[in-house]
Amino acid sequence: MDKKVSKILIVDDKETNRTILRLVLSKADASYVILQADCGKAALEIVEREMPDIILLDVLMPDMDGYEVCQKLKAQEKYKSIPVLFITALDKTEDMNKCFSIGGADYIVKPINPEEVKARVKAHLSFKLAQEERIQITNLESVKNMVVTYNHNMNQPLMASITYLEILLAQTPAEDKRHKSLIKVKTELAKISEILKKIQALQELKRVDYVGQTQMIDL
Amino acid sequence: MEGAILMVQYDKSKAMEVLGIDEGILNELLQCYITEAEGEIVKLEEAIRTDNFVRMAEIGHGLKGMSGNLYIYHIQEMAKGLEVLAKDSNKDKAAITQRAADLKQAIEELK
Repeated sequence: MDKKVSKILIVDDKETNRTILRLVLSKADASYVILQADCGKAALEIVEREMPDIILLDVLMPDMDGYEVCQKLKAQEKYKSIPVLFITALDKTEDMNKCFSIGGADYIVKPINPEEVKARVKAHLSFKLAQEERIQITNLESVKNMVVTYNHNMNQPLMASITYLEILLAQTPAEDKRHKSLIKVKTELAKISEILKKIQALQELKRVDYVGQTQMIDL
Repeated sequence: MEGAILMVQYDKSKAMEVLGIDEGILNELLQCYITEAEGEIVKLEEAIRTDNFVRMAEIGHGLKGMSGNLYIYHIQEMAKGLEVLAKDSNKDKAAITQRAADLKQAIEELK
Protein backbone atom coordinates (compact mmCIF):
# COMPACT_ATOMS: atom_id res chain seq x y z
CA MET A 1 0.00 0.00 0.00
CA ASP A 2 1.51 3.36 -1.01
CA LYS A 3 2.26 5.82 1.77
CA LYS A 4 0.42 9.12 1.49
CA VAL A 5 2.63 11.94 0.23
CA SER A 6 2.59 14.97 2.53
CA LYS A 7 3.07 18.41 1.00
CA ILE A 8 4.82 20.85 3.31
CA LEU A 9 4.94 24.55 2.44
CA ILE A 10 7.80 26.58 3.95
CA VAL A 11 7.24 30.34 3.91
CA ASP A 12 10.19 32.55 4.85
CA ASP A 13 11.75 35.55 3.11
CA LYS A 14 15.24 34.28 4.05
CA GLU A 15 16.61 31.63 1.72
CA THR A 16 18.98 30.39 4.44
CA ASN A 17 16.07 29.61 6.77
CA ARG A 18 14.07 27.89 4.02
CA THR A 19 17.05 25.77 3.02
CA ILE A 20 17.73 24.67 6.61
CA LEU A 21 14.09 23.66 7.11
CA ARG A 22 14.04 21.85 3.77
CA LEU A 23 17.17 19.92 4.73
CA VAL A 24 15.79 19.00 8.14
CA LEU A 25 12.41 17.84 6.83
CA SER A 26 13.77 16.02 3.78
CA LYS A 27 15.93 13.94 6.08
CA ALA A 28 12.98 13.26 8.39
CA ASP A 29 10.74 11.56 5.84
CA ALA A 30 11.37 10.77 2.19
CA SER A 31 7.64 11.02 1.45
CA TYR A 32 7.57 14.74 2.26
CA VAL A 33 7.22 17.03 -0.74
CA ILE A 34 8.73 20.39 0.19
CA LEU A 35 7.30 23.54 -1.35
CA GLN A 36 8.81 26.98 -0.73
CA ALA A 37 7.64 30.58 -0.86
CA ASP A 38 9.71 33.70 -0.16
CA CYS A 39 6.77 36.00 0.58
CA GLY A 40 3.13 35.97 1.64
CA LYS A 41 1.74 36.55 -1.85
CA ALA A 42 3.72 33.63 -3.30
CA ALA A 43 2.59 31.49 -0.37
CA LEU A 44 -1.11 32.14 -1.09
CA GLU A 45 -0.58 31.30 -4.77
CA ILE A 46 1.13 28.02 -3.89
CA VAL A 47 -1.63 27.12 -1.42
CA GLU A 48 -4.25 27.65 -4.12
CA ARG A 49 -2.30 25.57 -6.64
CA GLU A 50 -0.87 22.79 -4.49
CA MET A 51 -3.16 22.54 -1.43
CA PRO A 52 -0.36 21.70 1.03
CA ASP A 53 -1.00 19.48 4.06
CA ILE A 54 0.85 21.79 6.45
CA ILE A 55 2.42 25.27 6.37
CA LEU A 56 5.52 26.45 8.23
CA LEU A 57 5.14 30.20 8.31
CA ASP A 58 7.57 32.94 9.28
CA VAL A 59 5.97 35.94 11.00
CA LEU A 60 8.07 38.95 10.03
CA MET A 61 8.24 39.26 6.26
CA PRO A 62 8.14 42.35 4.07
CA ASP A 63 4.85 43.40 2.39
CA MET A 64 2.58 40.74 3.88
CA ASP A 65 3.54 39.29 7.25
CA GLY A 66 2.79 35.79 8.49
CA TYR A 67 -0.21 36.92 10.55
CA GLU A 68 -1.91 38.34 7.47
CA VAL A 69 -1.15 35.21 5.43
CA CYS A 70 -2.67 33.05 8.17
CA GLN A 71 -5.75 35.25 8.48
CA LYS A 72 -6.34 35.16 4.72
CA LEU A 73 -6.10 31.37 4.75
CA LYS A 74 -8.35 30.86 7.75
CA ALA A 75 -10.98 33.13 6.19
CA GLN A 76 -11.48 30.61 3.41
CA GLU A 77 -13.37 27.42 4.21
CA LYS A 78 -11.30 25.22 1.89
CA TYR A 79 -8.01 26.17 3.61
CA LYS A 80 -9.22 26.26 7.21
CA SER A 81 -8.12 22.71 7.95
CA ILE A 82 -4.50 23.25 6.85
CA PRO A 83 -2.42 23.48 10.05
CA VAL A 84 -0.24 26.59 10.17
CA LEU A 85 2.93 26.35 12.29
CA PHE A 86 4.51 29.71 12.95
CA ILE A 87 8.31 29.66 12.98
CA THR A 88 9.74 32.91 14.25
CA ALA A 89 12.40 34.62 16.31
CA LEU A 90 9.64 36.43 18.24
CA ASP A 91 9.45 34.71 21.60
CA LYS A 92 7.19 36.79 23.83
CA THR A 93 3.97 35.37 25.27
CA GLU A 94 1.86 37.96 23.44
CA ASP A 95 3.48 36.94 20.12
CA MET A 96 2.56 33.31 20.79
CA ASN A 97 -0.96 34.25 21.86
CA LYS A 98 -1.47 36.23 18.66
CA CYS A 99 -0.40 33.24 16.54
CA PHE A 100 -2.93 31.00 18.24
CA SER A 101 -5.70 33.60 18.28
CA ILE A 102 -5.63 33.98 14.49
CA GLY A 103 -5.81 30.23 13.91
CA GLY A 104 -2.20 29.06 14.11
CA ALA A 105 -1.90 25.41 15.14
CA ASP A 106 1.54 25.69 16.71
CA TYR A 107 4.50 27.95 17.36
CA ILE A 108 8.21 27.19 17.02
CA VAL A 109 10.87 29.66 18.14
CA LYS A 110 14.05 30.31 16.12
CA PRO A 111 16.75 29.16 16.27
CA ILE A 112 14.97 25.98 15.38
CA ASN A 113 15.67 22.67 17.04
CA PRO A 114 15.49 20.17 14.15
CA GLU A 115 14.17 17.34 16.31
CA GLU A 116 11.40 19.58 17.63
CA VAL A 117 10.46 20.70 14.12
CA LYS A 118 10.35 17.12 12.85
CA ALA A 119 8.27 15.93 15.80
CA ARG A 120 5.76 18.78 15.59
CA VAL A 121 5.33 18.49 11.83
CA LYS A 122 4.81 14.74 12.11
CA ALA A 123 2.29 15.14 14.95
CA HIS A 124 0.24 17.76 13.10
CA LEU A 125 0.25 15.74 9.88
CA SER A 126 -0.95 12.64 11.76
CA PHE A 127 -3.68 14.63 13.47
CA LYS A 128 -4.83 16.10 10.14
CA LEU A 129 -4.92 12.67 8.52
CA ALA A 130 -6.97 11.27 11.41
CA GLN A 131 -9.39 14.20 11.12
CA GLU A 132 -9.80 13.62 7.38
CA GLU A 133 -10.50 9.93 8.01
CA ARG A 134 -13.11 10.81 10.60
CA ILE A 135 -14.83 13.20 8.17
CA GLN A 136 -14.80 10.53 5.49
CA ILE A 137 -16.37 7.99 7.85
CA THR A 138 -19.01 10.51 8.92
CA ASN A 139 -19.87 11.30 5.30
CA LEU A 140 -20.19 7.61 4.45
CA GLU A 141 -22.41 7.07 7.47
CA SER A 142 -24.66 9.92 6.32
CA VAL A 143 -24.95 8.46 2.83
CA LYS A 144 -25.66 5.03 4.29
CA ASN A 145 -28.40 6.38 6.55
CA MET A 146 -29.99 8.21 3.67
CA VAL A 147 -29.96 5.12 1.45
CA VAL A 148 -31.38 2.90 4.19
CA THR A 149 -34.20 5.40 4.81
CA TYR A 150 -35.09 5.60 1.11
CA ASN A 151 -34.91 1.83 0.91
CA HIS A 152 -37.38 1.49 3.74
CA ASN A 153 -39.70 4.06 2.16
CA MET A 154 -39.62 2.22 -1.17
CA ASN A 155 -40.04 -1.21 0.36
CA GLN A 156 -43.45 -0.51 1.86
CA PRO A 157 -45.25 0.46 -1.39
CA LEU A 158 -43.46 -2.39 -3.16
CA MET A 159 -44.79 -4.94 -0.69
CA ALA A 160 -48.29 -3.47 -1.05
CA SER A 161 -48.02 -3.68 -4.85
CA ILE A 162 -46.98 -7.32 -4.68
CA THR A 163 -49.90 -8.11 -2.36
CA TYR A 164 -52.43 -6.43 -4.67
CA LEU A 165 -50.86 -8.18 -7.61
CA GLU A 166 -51.26 -11.56 -5.89
CA ILE A 167 -54.96 -10.76 -5.34
CA LEU A 168 -55.33 -9.80 -8.99
CA LEU A 169 -53.56 -12.96 -10.08
CA ALA A 170 -55.83 -15.09 -7.89
CA GLN A 171 -58.84 -13.47 -9.53
CA THR A 172 -57.52 -13.90 -13.07
CA PRO A 173 -57.89 -17.35 -14.64
CA ALA A 174 -54.72 -18.82 -16.20
CA GLU A 175 -56.36 -18.92 -19.66
CA ASP A 176 -57.06 -15.16 -19.44
CA LYS A 177 -54.55 -13.35 -21.71
CA ARG A 178 -53.96 -10.75 -18.93
CA HIS A 179 -52.68 -13.51 -16.62
CA LYS A 180 -49.38 -13.75 -18.54
CA SER A 181 -48.82 -10.01 -18.25
CA LEU A 182 -49.50 -10.07 -14.53
CA ILE A 183 -46.92 -12.87 -14.12
CA LYS A 184 -44.40 -10.66 -15.96
CA VAL A 185 -45.15 -7.74 -13.60
CA LYS A 186 -44.68 -10.07 -10.61
CA THR A 187 -41.26 -11.17 -11.96
CA GLU A 188 -40.11 -7.56 -12.39
CA LEU A 189 -41.33 -6.59 -8.91
CA ALA A 190 -39.39 -9.55 -7.49
CA LYS A 191 -36.24 -8.17 -9.15
CA ILE A 192 -36.83 -4.75 -7.52
CA SER A 193 -37.32 -6.48 -4.20
CA GLU A 194 -33.95 -8.25 -4.57
CA ILE A 195 -32.21 -4.95 -5.31
CA LEU A 196 -33.74 -3.37 -2.21
CA LYS A 197 -32.55 -6.33 -0.11
CA LYS A 198 -29.00 -5.72 -1.31
CA ILE A 199 -29.29 -2.03 -0.41
CA GLN A 200 -30.56 -3.09 3.00
CA ALA A 201 -27.23 -4.89 3.48
CA LEU A 202 -25.59 -1.44 3.56
CA GLN A 203 -26.72 -1.29 7.16
CA GLU A 204 -23.89 -3.70 7.81
CA LEU A 205 -21.38 -1.04 6.72
CA LYS A 206 -18.43 -1.11 9.07
CA ARG A 207 -14.79 -0.09 9.35
CA VAL A 208 -12.15 -2.83 9.56
CA ASP A 209 -8.39 -2.93 9.89
CA TYR A 210 -6.73 -3.85 6.64
CA VAL A 211 -3.08 -4.77 6.00
CA GLY A 212 -1.69 -3.43 9.25
CA GLN A 213 -2.17 0.28 9.65
CA THR A 214 -4.07 1.17 6.47
CA GLN A 215 -7.83 1.15 6.90
CA MET A 216 -10.70 0.77 4.48
CA ILE A 217 -14.46 0.85 4.41
CA ASP A 218 -15.99 -2.61 4.05
CA LEU A 219 -19.18 -2.49 2.03
CA MET B 1 34.56 48.62 22.21
CA GLU B 2 32.47 46.84 19.60
CA GLY B 3 35.65 45.57 18.01
CA ALA B 4 36.16 43.35 21.04
CA ILE B 5 33.47 40.93 19.89
CA LEU B 6 34.92 40.63 16.40
CA MET B 7 37.36 37.98 15.15
CA VAL B 8 35.28 35.27 16.79
CA GLN B 9 35.87 31.84 15.32
CA TYR B 10 32.66 30.18 14.16
CA ASP B 11 32.38 26.69 15.63
CA LYS B 12 30.90 24.62 12.81
CA SER B 13 30.67 21.44 14.86
CA LYS B 14 27.56 22.56 16.76
CA ALA B 15 25.63 23.30 13.55
CA MET B 16 26.79 20.04 11.94
CA GLU B 17 25.78 18.04 15.00
CA VAL B 18 22.36 19.62 15.59
CA LEU B 19 21.35 19.86 11.93
CA GLY B 20 22.76 16.39 11.21
CA ILE B 21 24.74 17.52 8.18
CA ASP B 22 28.33 17.13 7.01
CA GLU B 23 30.80 19.96 6.52
CA GLY B 24 30.21 20.08 2.76
CA ILE B 25 26.50 20.80 3.17
CA LEU B 26 27.20 23.25 5.99
CA ASN B 27 29.64 25.13 3.77
CA GLU B 28 26.97 25.39 1.07
CA LEU B 29 24.53 26.70 3.66
CA LEU B 30 27.12 29.16 4.89
CA GLN B 31 27.67 30.42 1.35
CA CYS B 32 23.92 31.01 1.03
CA TYR B 33 23.90 32.69 4.45
CA ILE B 34 26.83 35.02 3.65
CA THR B 35 25.32 36.12 0.32
CA GLU B 36 21.97 36.79 1.96
CA ALA B 37 23.45 38.50 5.03
CA GLU B 38 25.54 40.80 2.83
CA GLY B 39 22.34 41.78 1.04
CA GLU B 40 20.75 42.55 4.40
CA ILE B 41 23.71 44.77 5.34
CA VAL B 42 23.20 46.77 2.14
CA LYS B 43 19.53 47.20 3.08
CA LEU B 44 20.56 48.13 6.63
CA GLU B 45 22.92 50.83 5.40
CA GLU B 46 20.12 52.24 3.26
CA ALA B 47 17.75 52.19 6.25
CA ILE B 48 20.35 54.06 8.34
CA ARG B 49 20.77 56.66 5.60
CA THR B 50 17.01 57.25 5.51
CA ASP B 51 16.51 57.08 9.31
CA ASN B 52 14.11 54.17 8.86
CA PHE B 53 14.34 52.66 12.35
CA VAL B 54 11.48 50.23 11.80
CA ARG B 55 13.33 48.72 8.84
CA MET B 56 16.58 48.62 10.87
CA ALA B 57 14.80 46.61 13.58
CA GLU B 58 13.30 44.25 10.98
CA ILE B 59 16.73 43.64 9.45
CA GLY B 60 18.24 43.02 12.87
CA HIS B 61 15.42 40.59 13.64
CA GLY B 62 15.90 38.72 10.38
CA LEU B 63 19.67 38.45 10.79
CA LYS B 64 19.17 37.22 14.35
CA GLY B 65 16.95 34.35 13.16
CA MET B 66 19.17 33.35 10.23
CA SER B 67 22.31 33.39 12.35
CA GLY B 68 20.68 31.48 15.17
CA ASN B 69 19.52 28.74 12.82
CA LEU B 70 23.16 28.15 11.83
CA TYR B 71 24.40 28.53 15.43
CA ILE B 72 26.52 31.57 14.56
CA TYR B 73 26.07 32.84 18.06
CA HIS B 74 28.25 35.96 17.92
CA ILE B 75 26.42 37.39 14.89
CA GLN B 76 23.09 36.35 16.38
CA GLU B 77 23.91 38.41 19.47
CA MET B 78 25.10 41.38 17.41
CA ALA B 79 21.91 41.29 15.34
CA LYS B 80 19.82 41.05 18.50
CA GLY B 81 21.63 44.13 19.80
CA LEU B 82 20.89 45.94 16.55
CA GLU B 83 17.18 45.11 16.86
CA VAL B 84 17.13 46.39 20.45
CA LEU B 85 18.95 49.61 19.50
CA ALA B 86 16.61 50.27 16.57
CA LYS B 87 13.53 49.75 18.74
CA ASP B 88 14.90 51.92 21.56
CA SER B 89 13.26 55.30 21.94
CA ASN B 90 16.70 56.99 22.11
CA LYS B 91 17.23 56.34 18.36
CA ASP B 92 20.99 56.13 18.83
CA LYS B 93 21.98 56.30 15.19
CA ALA B 94 25.72 56.38 15.94
CA ALA B 95 25.51 53.12 17.90
CA ILE B 96 23.44 51.53 15.16
CA THR B 97 25.92 52.64 12.51
CA GLN B 98 28.74 51.11 14.53
CA ARG B 99 26.73 47.90 15.00
CA ALA B 100 26.12 47.72 11.25
CA ALA B 101 29.87 48.05 10.60
CA ASP B 102 30.61 45.31 13.14
CA LEU B 103 28.04 43.02 11.57
CA LYS B 104 29.50 43.65 8.13
CA GLN B 105 32.99 42.76 9.38
CA ALA B 106 31.79 39.66 11.23
CA ILE B 107 30.03 38.39 8.11
CA GLU B 108 33.15 39.11 6.07
CA GLU B 109 35.22 37.08 8.53
CA LEU B 110 33.03 34.03 7.91
CA LYS B 111 34.35 33.80 4.34
